[in-house]
Amino acid sequence: MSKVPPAARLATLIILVAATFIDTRIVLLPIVLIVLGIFIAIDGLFPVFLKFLLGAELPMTLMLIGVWGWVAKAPPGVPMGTDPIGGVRFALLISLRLAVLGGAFQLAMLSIPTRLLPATLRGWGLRGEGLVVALGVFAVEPELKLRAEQILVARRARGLLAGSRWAGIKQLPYLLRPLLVWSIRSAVHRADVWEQRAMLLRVEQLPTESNPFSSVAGAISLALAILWLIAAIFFRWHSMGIR
Amino acid sequence: MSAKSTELLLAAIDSRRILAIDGPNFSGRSNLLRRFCRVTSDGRMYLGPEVYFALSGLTTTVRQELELHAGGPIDAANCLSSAQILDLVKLLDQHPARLSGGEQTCLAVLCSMILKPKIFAADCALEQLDSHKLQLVLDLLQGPAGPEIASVITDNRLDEWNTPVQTIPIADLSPDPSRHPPIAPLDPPQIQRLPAVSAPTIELRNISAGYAKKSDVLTNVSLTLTPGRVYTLVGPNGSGKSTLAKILCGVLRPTAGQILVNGAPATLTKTPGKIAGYHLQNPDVGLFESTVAAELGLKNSDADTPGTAVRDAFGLQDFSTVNPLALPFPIRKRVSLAATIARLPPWIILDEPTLGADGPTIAALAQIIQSLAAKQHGVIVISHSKKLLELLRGNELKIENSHVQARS
Repeated sequence: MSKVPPAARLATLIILVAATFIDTRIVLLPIVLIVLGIFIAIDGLFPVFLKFLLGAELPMTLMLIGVWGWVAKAPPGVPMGTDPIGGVRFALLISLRLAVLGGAFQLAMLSIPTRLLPATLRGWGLRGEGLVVALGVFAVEPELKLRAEQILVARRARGLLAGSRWAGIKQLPYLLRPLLVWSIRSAVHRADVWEQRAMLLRVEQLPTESNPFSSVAGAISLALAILWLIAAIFFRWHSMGIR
Repeated sequence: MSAKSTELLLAAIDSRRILAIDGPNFSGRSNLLRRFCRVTSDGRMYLGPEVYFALSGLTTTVRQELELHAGGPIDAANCLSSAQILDLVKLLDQHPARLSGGEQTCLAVLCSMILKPKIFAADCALEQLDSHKLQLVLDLLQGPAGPEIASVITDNRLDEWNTPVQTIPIADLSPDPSRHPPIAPLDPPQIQRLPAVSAPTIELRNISAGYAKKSDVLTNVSLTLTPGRVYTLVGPNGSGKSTLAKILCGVLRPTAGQILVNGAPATLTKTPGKIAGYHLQNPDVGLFESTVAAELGLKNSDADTPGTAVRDAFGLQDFSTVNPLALPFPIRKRVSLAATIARLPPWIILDEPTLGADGPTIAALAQIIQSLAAKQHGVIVISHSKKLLELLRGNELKIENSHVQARS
């Protein structure tokens, strides 16, 4: 069972919105990240978050620092070569903002236990085709990943692909076509199956999950998030010279 | 296929719990069953050879899939006992797409039975099951948890079933066979056109292997594979046959042990598919090109190359310009088999090559396999088809409880 109440998920979404308001107060973003990290750790999602940080966030941060701190040597809107520290600061700001967005998304969505996904989504008021689409969004990534793995295995098994990771990346064009064809075929077949088995009706009949979370924890999370949103807007206005 | 055929089928079902339709490939069996089940308002349910497409595609665990079909927790829905019988309980947390072919079949059948159809039609869908699982599924279909009226089944292994069932020839149901254009049969002598190869000896020493959620699929496996022979790899569904095949062709790294090629230590994962080519059970994941000729690597369809020899051996001459994925399942299986063999890997591993194949096709396939061994290829065949195994009389490798036993 997830330890993060739905209200906290809503709170993280508010934090997400607030993070986009922050422009100059770079010091606040690491604080948000730490708070998010605690939530993520409580929910057992830290390995996923760490993978995101190391696999996507870190390379992008290095690239941004290279571009704004070393090549341009200035943040946007400032003459090139005049402010390398400002360039690095800008790169860090973008990176931290994305880390917050990524973490908030992971906390808000991935923390829903797979087993309770249909019931939880129904509990949020999703019905009929909307519910099917929402469920499909969660299922499509693991399924496509799995199918891509199978295609790569099949290509390796036929000797069409060397064993290295780089060779795998070079196979991307060969991967996309069968993946696309498979997706279309799968959709056609499954449309028949869904009709024959009246699956839409079955999704409709799924029981809703009762709310097992503490309302106090939810209220506190929401209050903190709203405070954060107000602070973020204030700082943004302040930086723009609005008094 | 006329509407009369479906009426004849309905009349033939009568009070039988299981009715099997007997007939060769391309005799119209599949068309009849699909057409029969298109009447959705009458509780008829179709399960084709691509069993995976029968699952919802919305779930990421077996438990979720069962609960989606049951409309609630599986314990409350009374389907847990059937899941236990079909050995699915240990797989509840696995992704449905990560199951073996036989396990997926069991799941698809159970999901179908949860929906309580009046008539259940399995079109070559049970061919991936080992004999034990097949018996369990047939018992389920005949028992109270089965369909309300009957199951109609097409299967190329009918003569291997332990359960005697009523059979009706397709000719009695579809009196107009001329509507199904003839498909070229397999032509095993064409394999003689292939050059002989020099395949290495492969030795596995204390190999262990597994996956993240099941780390001990194979434990301490030691065996020596000599070229110029046919090995049959047998064992229950999910026992690790495909895992061993993946190790041999270099797409899976063993967790422990050593592999020797001609006596020298080798890392097969550095050159996957080069020493052993592996034909996967599901033909669709192994078809990448837009035409059959491209799939077989044919640049000139008229030249006498290994590719054209293999194409002719598998009776694919008429399909050179056709998209492989647009072909019927048995032909797609042929294309996928031919594409693996056409590259002439020294070792050839064929996973369930008889899926969707009728008796004459299985006999011809056995001849092709033996001809490949005569050309000094090493051939490993994974199959539940007793007919193919008897025809091959290969050196048997049996996987049971994570171990492999070799028997000549």
